[in-house]
Amino acid sequence: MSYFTREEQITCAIARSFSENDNFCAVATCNSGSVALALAKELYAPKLSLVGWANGRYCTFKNLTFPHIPGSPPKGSIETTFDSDEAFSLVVRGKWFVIMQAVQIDQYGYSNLSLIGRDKSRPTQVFVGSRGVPTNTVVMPRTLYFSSNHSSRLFVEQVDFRSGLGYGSERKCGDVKWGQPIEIITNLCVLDFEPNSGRARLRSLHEGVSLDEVIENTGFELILPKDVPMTVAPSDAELDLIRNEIDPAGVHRLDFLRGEHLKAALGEIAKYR
Amino acid sequence: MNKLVSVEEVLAELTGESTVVVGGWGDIRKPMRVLAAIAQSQIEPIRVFSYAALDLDLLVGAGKVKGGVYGFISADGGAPFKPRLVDAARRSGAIELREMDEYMFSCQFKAAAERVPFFPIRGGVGTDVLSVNPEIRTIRDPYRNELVVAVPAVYPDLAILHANRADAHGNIEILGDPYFDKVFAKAAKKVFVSCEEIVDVGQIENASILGTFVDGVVKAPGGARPGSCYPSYSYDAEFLSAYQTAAEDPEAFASFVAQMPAA
Repeated sequence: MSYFTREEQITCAIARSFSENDNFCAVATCNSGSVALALAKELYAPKLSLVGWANGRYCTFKNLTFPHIPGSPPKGSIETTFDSDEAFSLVVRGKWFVIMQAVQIDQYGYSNLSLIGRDKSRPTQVFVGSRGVPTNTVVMPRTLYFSSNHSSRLFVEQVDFRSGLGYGSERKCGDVKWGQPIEIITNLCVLDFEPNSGRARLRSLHEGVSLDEVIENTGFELILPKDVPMTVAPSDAELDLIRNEIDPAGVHRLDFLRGEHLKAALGEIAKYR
Repeated sequence: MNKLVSVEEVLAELTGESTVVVGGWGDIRKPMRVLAAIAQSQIEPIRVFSYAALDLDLLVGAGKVKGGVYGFISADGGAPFKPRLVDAARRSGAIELREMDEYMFSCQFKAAAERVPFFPIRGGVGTDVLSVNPEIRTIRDPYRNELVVAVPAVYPDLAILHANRADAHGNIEILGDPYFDKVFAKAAKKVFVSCEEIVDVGQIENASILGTFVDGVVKAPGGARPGSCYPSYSYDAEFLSAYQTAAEDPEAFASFVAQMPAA
């Protein structure tokens, strides 16, 4: 097995959540997710359509390599463009997948992208709003969250605003059929949801992460299996594609860097443009 | 027929009772010059619907909004812009600003455009988007008993849009993504469009919005600045920076708004 970084392991873990029958448009709200989608299309899910922005519209890509400049990607990479109303049609038809991030997530997979504060009419902090998440979490084939900052501020007992639907009564009684949260992939581990209770469960730990570190940084009680495996290590084929084809500049690292480290990485990446 | 109007004629349509839907998306193709004219006017605060960023921030900052509904508040087009004024209003609760799911937001106007009382959708069930919009109800469909959210039709008094080209008959051409401007135009009681360029009737080969839906066209080259208007211009980072500096102080902001170019 080759040497790999945790960021590469996370990117591969995201890519491996896609498979052959995934015939939909996919987009990510994070760099590692975008690289992971391109990797998934190469190795695991050839029917994925990778979505971005070009020429004032949404576009699909023949293939996607990074660094990639939203709005002005290289001409040869664009398959076609389409409008926002077509994007909404894809969403409600179950042909759209977005790797999402949230401000808070609770143990039943409810997510909050809107605000912090007990009183919704006088929040202490506000964010972009729920955006398409209320719809996404009931119509997408399934829901996958990403976080580069696994903390007890993210994983809370109860979210202050329910933007995304988790495992609640609506799913149990069959009123909501799709969009169930399947996985949360963080900088520390992979979480999934126990089928019967709908509660978050630790599925695997990334290389070098301890169980205690995950427990300390999770603000609710996780279901812990007897033996927690390591997140699957990247294969040589995955590493080769990431490093030499899809993301030679290492754009997928950006999600995990802050301050001076982020500045330095952006400087390195700029040389690839 | 001549639908070319001045911005004063648009302002004359507005009262404190007006509900306005604003076209565009975040920082993209927003009718900023017309909105600047509203911000500078003596018009009483109005109700605003928008996929918002620059537009709602300006109008809230200028005290021209008594309530609003937004699909999101984000400069999606990449402009370096934080909507501090509208965010401050969301925190203080001074005016009633309500968020809605992005798709749900468009369906209020889709229902109105088709003159049906509501549009059934699946999204929103079990979320707080319904608790903060208590007028929206869930219903069982009469055929298979499925649970849907019945998004009520919204007929705004005015749609204010920005487009690339228009002619004197009100035919509109939008280059790039039209977002939901077409459905806004069909839902609103009156429709005004500012545009980059006026062309001769017959020059618009394939109208994005047919003149029949349009009441007035305002000539406003650069009318979406400091936001972007594909393919003519990108966002104006320098202007946005000056705006945001001014927004830190009410007096500075008032004099900044007074000097903003209006259509």
